Amino acid sequence: MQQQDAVHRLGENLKSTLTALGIGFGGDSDGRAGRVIEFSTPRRLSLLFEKVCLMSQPFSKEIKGPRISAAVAAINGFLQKHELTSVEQCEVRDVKGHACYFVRLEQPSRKSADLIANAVIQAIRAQSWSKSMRFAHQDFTWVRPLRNILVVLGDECLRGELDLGGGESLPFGEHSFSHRASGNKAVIIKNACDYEEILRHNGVIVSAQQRQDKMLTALKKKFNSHALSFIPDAKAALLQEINGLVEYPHVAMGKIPQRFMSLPRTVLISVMWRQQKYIPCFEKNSENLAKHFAFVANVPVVQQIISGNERVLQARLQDAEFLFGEDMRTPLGEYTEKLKHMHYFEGLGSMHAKVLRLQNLATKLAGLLKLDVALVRDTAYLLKADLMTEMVGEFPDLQGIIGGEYARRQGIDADIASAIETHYQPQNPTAPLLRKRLNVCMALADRLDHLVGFWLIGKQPTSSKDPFALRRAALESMHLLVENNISVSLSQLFTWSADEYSRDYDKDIILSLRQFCHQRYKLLLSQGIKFDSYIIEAVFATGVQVNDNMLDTHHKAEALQKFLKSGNRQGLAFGLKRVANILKDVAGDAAAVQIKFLKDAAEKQLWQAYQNHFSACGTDKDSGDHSVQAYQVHLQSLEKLTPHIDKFFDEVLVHAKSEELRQNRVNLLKAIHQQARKIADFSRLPDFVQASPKT
Amino acid sequence: MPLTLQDIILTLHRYWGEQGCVILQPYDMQVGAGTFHWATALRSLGKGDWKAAYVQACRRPKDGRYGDNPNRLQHYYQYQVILKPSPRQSQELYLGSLAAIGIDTAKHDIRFVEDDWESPTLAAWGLGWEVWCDGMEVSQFTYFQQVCGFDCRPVSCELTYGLERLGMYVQGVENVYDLRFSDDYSYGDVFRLAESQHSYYNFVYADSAILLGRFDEIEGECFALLELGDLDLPLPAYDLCLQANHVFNLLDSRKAIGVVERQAYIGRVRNMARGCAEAYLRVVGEG
Repeated sequence: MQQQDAVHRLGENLKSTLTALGIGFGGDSDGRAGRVIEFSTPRRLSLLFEKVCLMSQPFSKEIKGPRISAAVAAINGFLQKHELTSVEQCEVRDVKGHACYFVRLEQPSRKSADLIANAVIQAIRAQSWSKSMRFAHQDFTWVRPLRNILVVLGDECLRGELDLGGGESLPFGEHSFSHRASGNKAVIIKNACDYEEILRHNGVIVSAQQRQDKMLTALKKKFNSHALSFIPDAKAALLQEINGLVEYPHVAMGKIPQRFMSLPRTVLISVMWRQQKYIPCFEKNSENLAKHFAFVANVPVVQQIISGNERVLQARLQDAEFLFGEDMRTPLGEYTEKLKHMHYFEGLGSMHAKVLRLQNLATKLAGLLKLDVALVRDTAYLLKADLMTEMVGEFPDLQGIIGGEYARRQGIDADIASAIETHYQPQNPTAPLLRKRLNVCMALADRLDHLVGFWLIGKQPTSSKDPFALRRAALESMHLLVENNISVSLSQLFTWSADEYSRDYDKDIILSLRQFCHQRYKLLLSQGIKFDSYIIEAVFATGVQVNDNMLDTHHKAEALQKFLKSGNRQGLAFGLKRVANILKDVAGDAAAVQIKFLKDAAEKQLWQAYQNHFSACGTDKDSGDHSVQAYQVHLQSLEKLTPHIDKFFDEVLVHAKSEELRQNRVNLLKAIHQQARKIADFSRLPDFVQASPKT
Repeated sequence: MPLTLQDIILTLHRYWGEQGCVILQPYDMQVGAGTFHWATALRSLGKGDWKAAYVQACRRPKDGRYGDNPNRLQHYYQYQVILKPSPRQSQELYLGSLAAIGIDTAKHDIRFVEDDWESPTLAAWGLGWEVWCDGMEVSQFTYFQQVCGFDCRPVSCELTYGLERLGMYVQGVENVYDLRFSDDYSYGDVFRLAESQHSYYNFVYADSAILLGRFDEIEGECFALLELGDLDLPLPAYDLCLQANHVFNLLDSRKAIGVVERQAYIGRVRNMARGCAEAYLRVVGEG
């Protein structure tokens, strides 16, 4: 991928340089810069520009100079730069009230052959690499030592020189070079359009895509003839990487000795493709890993190459087998004791301390998830044990998976093994979420402890950096709660977790954590397809304190979305918006509405309607029912207020002259507003949500 | 008949000698890699040209396997080449050396796999390749960009061959102890006993308390030499720096230091290395 990106960047630079010089290419009739064919191999980056015009387009350019009132030195400098002798050669024009000199440069048509060499050098210099290096005495940097530059225009080999600094330079070459296997011979490119074919004839497939296609075809053919199939997630990235290591792909298969097939599958796969860049395979139509692997070589494969690769794999698997054997001699639980010597993070104690915290936190969660406390404690105790194994030391990305594997093989309860194995999941947004309650318990406890820990030592993420993956931890926690229908207060969760750290902490941390989770989950939901973003905006706008239970919040959003989409509900939204808007400018707390100050019929009716709603479902006491259904009922009840709200605004002046009347009206509106805010901040709904204002 | 291990070494000596390298002998200290030899670490600093090749015994206490594992050793040989400035034909020269020991590069799958190298203890880094021969890494190819915190100008090219691996490959042998060291002796004949005994020492019997004290003493002595004032003695100081590094490696294999402390120790060795490099550059007239 890096090679393809690099040649693309080079191409873009060269394209813009050529265009700036007026050199046309690509042959579009309207003169737009056309297609450039990109080639990349591990040893070369090439670009083919088709239909390059042999003469550049003439163009004129206007360059703005200093103001006429500027210092003489500045004006002279400008004249000199553009090889002029006097200001008479300039135009004077007004720019934002100041008269400035302008010079018009006329560029006549020039031979492209005279311009391209420099354009190439410019593009090379402009190339950026994530990591680059110097070579010998030079100052020039490139991804690896630059050995040859070849520029051919039609059938003409162009001359040029790249100054490398340090007294060295690289003149443009006159050849390309064959594949190393045929001796890296100098190859003459008679005509640029023959480049691809000539190189192919000399053993190199310059097109990354063609090389990869060829590789894939050959792999499939080999697999079929051996009755094997690709591992489903044989990643495109691996194939691309392998493709980037060869100039011509030669595919072959090797065998894996039977004795290694009893190693955990994840280990076999990890050794093969992460360490050796081999392609593991399945037996056809089965879930079993096959005793074969495929590899791609840069030269035609003879038996000794296959044997060589088989021997290397054997050595690696022997290592893995050794580590596995060593690890299995110790009961998993004993590794947990060793975690006393492993730091979690500076300021947060050892991993062992973390395990103890997880045990206690999980115990608290057990009640919520209806799990057996002993089971939960046993699982938590083993959760991080595999971090001290040799296997995880060698294959760090297999943490959790190795623990689960060892648990199973040592006869530990299958549920416990499953929880250990899965507690780091999901590893990516498309992976399925955890559902088994024990797994959820462990995954949640681990993430909560992680979040709280880093907040306690003041290492919250900044807007640009999140080295400890705290955003992911927050998001996954919220996801686990909501998708598994776990109703719990976030304050409670974070307090439970923070208390386990047995140190004093500022209670503000709990609020800060809640705000963080709030923010991340809101972002996820508003970017998702389930809810319109204004629904999320409105529901979350009622604030962190109101939204302490993410499942509730999710239900509110569902209820509101359903409600607004079904039938002509816009009246309620509009009415409540008006209420919210008017209250925006009103300060002070709400007080009880006093009946004696209700004067107009409209306000009396509104009050009555409000009371009806309140006794039906608006009690301030938490009824405990936060289902979507309950919120819908609440919304339906509020809807009955709509005509009364409309009438109120039509007939009553809220800001009456009399302070008592005014205050009373405000209190009435505030009471209604409070009820609405149990679901959402209706002022955040967009105006289009209103249909006809009055029904 | 494929070459014995000693013939491989002699062949490489001849090949690189013909390329203008001075053939040195191993550094007479316990070091973790050929890079630590003053011929590489210090000579890669400064402007002067330099070409050298040597075998270096490498001690990696943590890799001990009591003589039981067919692939891992706590003591093994690297063949080290340093070319300063890096030559244009680096890759070709390297491939020539493989051909010299009998690896026909047209009949074997030789691939240069992009790899970058870094040594936190030496405050050094470079870009380069791992060289894979039929799937096995046989050499590391590095263009040093910085050593001991100083930019390398000119850039040196370092080649490091894993001799046992290369030998096993050339001889088609699967167990390192079966490697033919010479016509008459196998690798096991020469080293099996040592592997076993040193593993016991590295993992069980090395005295951590003494080692911890020893590290501090050596460090103190190293800095004292760098702070003489009227005289710069970077070469003896560098010996001490490497001694400290080896003590650190033993403490590591004894699991006597925690993860955070490890970083602190690495930093201490790095500071010593930097001090030596600074003094060295002064001595060669570039500091």
